Amino acid sequence: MQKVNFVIAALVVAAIAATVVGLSFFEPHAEKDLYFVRGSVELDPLVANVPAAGATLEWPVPNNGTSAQVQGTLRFAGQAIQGGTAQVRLELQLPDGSVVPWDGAMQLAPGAQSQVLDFELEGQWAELPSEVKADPDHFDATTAWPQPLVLRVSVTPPSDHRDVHARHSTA
Amino acid sequence: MAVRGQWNSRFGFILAAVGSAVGLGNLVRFPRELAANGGAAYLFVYLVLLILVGLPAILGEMSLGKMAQSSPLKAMRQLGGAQGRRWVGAGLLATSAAVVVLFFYVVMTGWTLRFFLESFTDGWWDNPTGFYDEVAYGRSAILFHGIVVALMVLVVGRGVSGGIEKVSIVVMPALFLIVLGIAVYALLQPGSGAGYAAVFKPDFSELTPNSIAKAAGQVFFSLSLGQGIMLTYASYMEKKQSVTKDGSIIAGADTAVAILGGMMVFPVLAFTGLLMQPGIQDVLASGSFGTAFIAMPNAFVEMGAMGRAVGALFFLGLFFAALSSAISLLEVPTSVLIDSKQVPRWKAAMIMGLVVYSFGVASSLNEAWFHFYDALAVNIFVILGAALTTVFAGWVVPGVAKEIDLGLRSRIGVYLVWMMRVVAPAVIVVVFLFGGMYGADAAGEVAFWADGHCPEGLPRAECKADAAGWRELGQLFREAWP
Repeated sequence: MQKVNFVIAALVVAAIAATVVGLSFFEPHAEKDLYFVRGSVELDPLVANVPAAGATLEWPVPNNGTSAQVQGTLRFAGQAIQGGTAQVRLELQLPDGSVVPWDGAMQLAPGAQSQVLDFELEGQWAELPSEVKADPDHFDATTAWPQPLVLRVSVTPPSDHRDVHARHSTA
Repeated sequence: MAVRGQWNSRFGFILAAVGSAVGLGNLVRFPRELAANGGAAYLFVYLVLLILVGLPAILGEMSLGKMAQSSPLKAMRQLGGAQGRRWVGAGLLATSAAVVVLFFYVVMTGWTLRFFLESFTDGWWDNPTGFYDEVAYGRSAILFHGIVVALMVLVVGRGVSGGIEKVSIVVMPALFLIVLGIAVYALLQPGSGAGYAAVFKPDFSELTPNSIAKAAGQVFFSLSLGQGIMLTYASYMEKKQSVTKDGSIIAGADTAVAILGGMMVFPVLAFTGLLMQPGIQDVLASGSFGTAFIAMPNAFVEMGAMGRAVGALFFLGLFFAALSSAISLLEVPTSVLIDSKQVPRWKAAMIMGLVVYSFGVASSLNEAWFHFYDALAVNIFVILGAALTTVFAGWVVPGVAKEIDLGLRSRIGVYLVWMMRVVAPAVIVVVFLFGGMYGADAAGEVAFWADGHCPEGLPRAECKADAAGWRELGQLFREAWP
C-alpha cells in the first residue's frame, strides 16, 4: 500500500511539474486558429449631379476592409436632338492609391429624353491575412485606411447633349 | 483486496451506459454530419450500420465484460483461454484508448462547464464570436481542466453504484429534458423549418464512400466502442441481466438523443436567422466546436433575453453529456488498476486522474496537442481497439452467442457473432482506410476578415475549415430548402 501512496505522491509532483512547465512554455501570443464572421458592409449610396466635365465621389473605408465593389447607374435626362454616343470614363481609386478604370458608352437615340448605363467596378487593395497574430497586448491593432474610396466620373457627351446625372451606390 | 462494484439497478446501469455513449458527438457532430451528408439518407445509412455493425459490436463488448466480470485486461486474459496472454494487448489497447481520449476530452468538457458558468456573466454574451478563441486554450483552460478531473475522480472514486450510478440517475434525465425542451422551444418558433430541412431532407446523391465510412466511424465512437467502456460497465451487471435487451436500449437511446440533437441545433440556428448567414455557415463548416461554441452563442444572443436562459440550459446539457462520458472513460483504467493491482478504488481513481491531468495540461495550453491526442486516440487507438475487441469476441471467446441469447425467446446470438467475425471487422478496416472516423477529407484553409471591424481584441483572423468536404456545406445549406 505504501507503494501506491508513493505513486500518488510522485504523480502529484508530476502534475505540478506539468503545470509549471506548461505555463512557462505557454506563449499567450502564439498563433492559433481563430474564427470570425466575415461579411460585407454596405456604404451609403451617393447621388451626384454630374455635369459634362465629371464628378468625384468619396466613401470612407471601414477598418479592415480589403476590397470594394461599386455598383451604380448613370442616367441621362434631357433632350437629345441628333443623338450619338456619350463616352463614360470611371476611375475607382482604392485606399492604397491604385486605380481601377472603367470605360463605357451610352447610346442616345435621336430625340431621346432619357437613358441609363449601369456599371460595376471591383478592386482589392489588401490581401486576406494568411497568418494569425493573436496578440492580446495589442487589442487596438486594427488596420485603418485613411485614404477614402474615390470614384471619379467623367463624361464626354455627344455634340447635342443636354444633361447627364449620375447616381451611385455600393454593395 | 479491492472489492468490485455492482450496479444497484438495471435502470441505473442503462442510464450510466447511455451517459457514456451520449456526448458532444450526439448533440453537435451528428446533426452536422446529417446536414452535410444527405440528411435522412445519411440517417438511413447510419441506422443500417448501427444494426449491422454497431449493435453486434456493443453486444460483443458487453458480453465479454459480463462473462468475465472484470476489467478489459483481465477479461481478455481470462476469456482467451490458452490464447489469453496474447490478447491482453487488445485489452491494453482499449484501455489506452480511453486514457488518451481523456487527454483532450476533459479539456473540452472544461469548455462546456466554462460556457455554462459564463451564461451568468457577460462572457460569451458580449463576444459570442470571439469568446471561444479567448478561453479555449490558456491558463483558464487549465483551471477548468483541473476542475473536471477533480469532479471525475470524486464520482469514480465513490464507486459504481455510489458514484457513477447516482450521478447518472440525476444527470441523464436532466440532459434528456434539456435537449427535449430546447427542441420543442425551437419547434414553436417561426422560421425553424429550414433547420429541419437542413438536417433531415434526404439527398442520396450526397452519399459517398467517404460519407458512409464517416457514418460507420460515428457509430463506433458514439457507442463508446473500442475503449473498453461497455466491457467495463457490463462487468458490473448482474448475471441474470440480458446484454441484448440492455445493449439495444443503450444503442437506441444514444441514437434517439442524436436525432433529438438534430432537432435542437439547426432549428435554433434557423429561427434566429443565422443558418443562412455565410459567416455562420463557415463556422458550422469549421467543425463541432465552432458549431457548439461560436454558432450557438451567436444564436442565443440573437434570441435576446430568452437566449440567456436557453444558452445556459444548452451548455449545461453539453456539460452533463461530456461529463458522463468522461466519467465512463476514467472508470476503464481505474477498474484495471483495481482488478490487476488491487489498488483501492479511491486511490486508483486518483492515480488515473493525476495522469489525465498531467497529460491534459498540454491540450489545455496548445491546440496542436489537443488535435494530436484526438487523432491518436480516435483514428488509431479506438479503431484498433474496436477491431481487436470485436474479433476477440467473435472468434476467440466461446459462449458469446449464448450470452447474447440469454433472456431472449429467439436465438439470434449465432448470427450476431458472425457479424462480429466478418462484417464488423471489415467495416472497421474500411473506416480505417478512409482516414478514421473523421473521414479522409484533405485539410483546407479559409481565410476571413472580420465584419468591417475586428472582433474584440484581435486584429487579424484566419479560420481553418477542417475538411474539404465541408466546404460544400454552405452551398448545401442554400440548396437544402426552398
